[in-house]
Amino acid sequence: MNLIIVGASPRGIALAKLALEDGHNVTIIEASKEQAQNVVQRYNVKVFHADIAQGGILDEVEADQADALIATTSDDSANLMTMFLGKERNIPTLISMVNQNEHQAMFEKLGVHVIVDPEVIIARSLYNFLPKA
Amino acid sequence: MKIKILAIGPGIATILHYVGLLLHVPGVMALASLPVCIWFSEYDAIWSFLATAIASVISGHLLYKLFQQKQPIRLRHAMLIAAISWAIIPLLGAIPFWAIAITADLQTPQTVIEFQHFENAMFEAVSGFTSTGLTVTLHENELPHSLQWWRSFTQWIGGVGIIVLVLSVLEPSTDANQLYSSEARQQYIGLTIKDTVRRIWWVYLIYTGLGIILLHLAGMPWWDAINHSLTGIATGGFSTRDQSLGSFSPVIQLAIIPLMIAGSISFPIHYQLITQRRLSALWQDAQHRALWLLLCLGVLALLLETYWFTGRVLWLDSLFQWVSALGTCGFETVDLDTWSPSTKLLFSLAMIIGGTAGSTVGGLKLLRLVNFYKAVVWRFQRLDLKPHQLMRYKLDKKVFTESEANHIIVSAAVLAILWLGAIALGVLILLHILPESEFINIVFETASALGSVGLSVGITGPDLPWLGKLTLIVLMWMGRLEIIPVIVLFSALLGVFPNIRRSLKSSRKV
Repeated sequence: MNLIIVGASPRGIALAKLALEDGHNVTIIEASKEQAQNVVQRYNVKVFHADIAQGGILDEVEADQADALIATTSDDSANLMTMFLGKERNIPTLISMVNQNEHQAMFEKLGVHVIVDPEVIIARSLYNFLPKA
Repeated sequence: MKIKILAIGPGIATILHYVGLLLHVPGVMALASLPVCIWFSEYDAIWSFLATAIASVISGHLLYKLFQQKQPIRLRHAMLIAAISWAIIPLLGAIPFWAIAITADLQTPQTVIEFQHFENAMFEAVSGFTSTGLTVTLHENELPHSLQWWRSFTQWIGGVGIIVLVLSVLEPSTDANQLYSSEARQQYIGLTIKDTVRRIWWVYLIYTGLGIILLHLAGMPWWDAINHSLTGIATGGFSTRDQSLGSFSPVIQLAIIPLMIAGSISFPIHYQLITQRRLSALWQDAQHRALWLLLCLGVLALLLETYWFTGRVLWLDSLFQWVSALGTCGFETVDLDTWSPSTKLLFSLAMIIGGTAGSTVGGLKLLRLVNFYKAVVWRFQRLDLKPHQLMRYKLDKKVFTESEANHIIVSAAVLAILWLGAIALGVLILLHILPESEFINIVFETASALGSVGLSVGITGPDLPWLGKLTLIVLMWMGRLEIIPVIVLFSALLGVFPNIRRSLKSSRKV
């Protein structure tokens, strides 16, 4: 599969690693030069140093060939824009992280898979380890 | 005891201190050679080796004691130490040749008499210590055993390096890595220099021992086996016979090929091979893959070339000579002068490239060739990049940043330019001295001298005018140190770079 990950956050990188291990092609778009450089040196992925808000970056990474577009930045507006642009290019699978609960509805209206509030997911896992009263 | 006799800068004092230390090496080597003189009852030779020992230990000790280390060694000082030591040590190493020659009597063969000219003795010693193997000896058979041994021994020590030897014996100071890297040997095996150099010596001793046994099993007499193993693993190329390896059976010639290849594989790989027993270590990095590839391609090309010009398939000679040239060893099984100009050109290229960095070879070394190959690949990969895409500079499982990648390429390119410049200069000088010689032969001999190879098409010999010998001596000296230390020495003498000069005079950081 061709995956495009927007944002080389720790979560984005971890995702890229999992996908690489399964033999998928991974492309990462990252706005910070330093972070982008860091990723290109550590993993065998295509890395683009660009802001998603810049026009045309998804065309440059050939997003219409992609099987999935995943937004993992800590900025919901960037994530939303990514999803919108992905929708426009008919990418089959659209996944986004949502940092603030109240934004969830907007994402769902676009029809994308969302992971809301990763902290809550972690907290729930931790809670599940507790012996049930 | 500290005597202040000269008002010199602490930089120069430090350099002379270490040069003094290194000058002990030929003295100790001469003492270690005394048993050979006694074993073969060459009692006349004993005093020449004693004289060498005395001259070297006294001059070395004087410098070592008179000048104290005043400041930590910087890389440029280490380079000056290497350049100066590698110029003076062969001077001391020439004493046995010369001293034995001047005490000649009527029975002494002409071969030995030639060394009465000190330039010949000096040439032989430089060729020895730089593990080159070009020789002004007319008939190796006629040399006394002590001199045969001295030639092999200087190559054996010089191949690994004098500084490596000293660092493995002495407790290295904090400056050890500067000294180590100034002798064209940069690869590490251990965490520290001390570990590294000791492991290098262990590997070296093991391979030398195995080489002696192998050659003897192949049918060489013990004395020849010892000498050829020493000069083979050192990729030196001095022989004890007139026709070099041509005077031995094809079985022996075949047996020495693995030894020459072992000499051109880097010590870190040998160490892995011995400790981890994994054959895959031999092709795990780009440099060694390049070695195998070039060995195969070169032999193939030579087979075709020789078939084209002679109509015969000279498979053993082609294999042997190509390994000898690329591994910068310099053993010969045939008279290369009779081979076609195209093969001589191929040999010259092999001698410019050389074996792997971190072994005993000379030449530019395959590491640089791999870097150039990568530079070309990267150039085209960059052309293929999209506007915002970042470039992945990958070399041997490591990914570099753009500036690191540029640094790698630039250092290799600078050395290559200096190397070709030195060859051009050498060729130009030799063309004036030897107007009768063919152009390709002069290129061949120059590449051979600069690459510490020692293959010859007949230009080197006692009849070569002194300026020609001097040119080859300087080329061998420059090539062994990878040129840059020699340029640093000349520029320090001429005061070209003010920072180097200033750093010699004051202890202030510049």
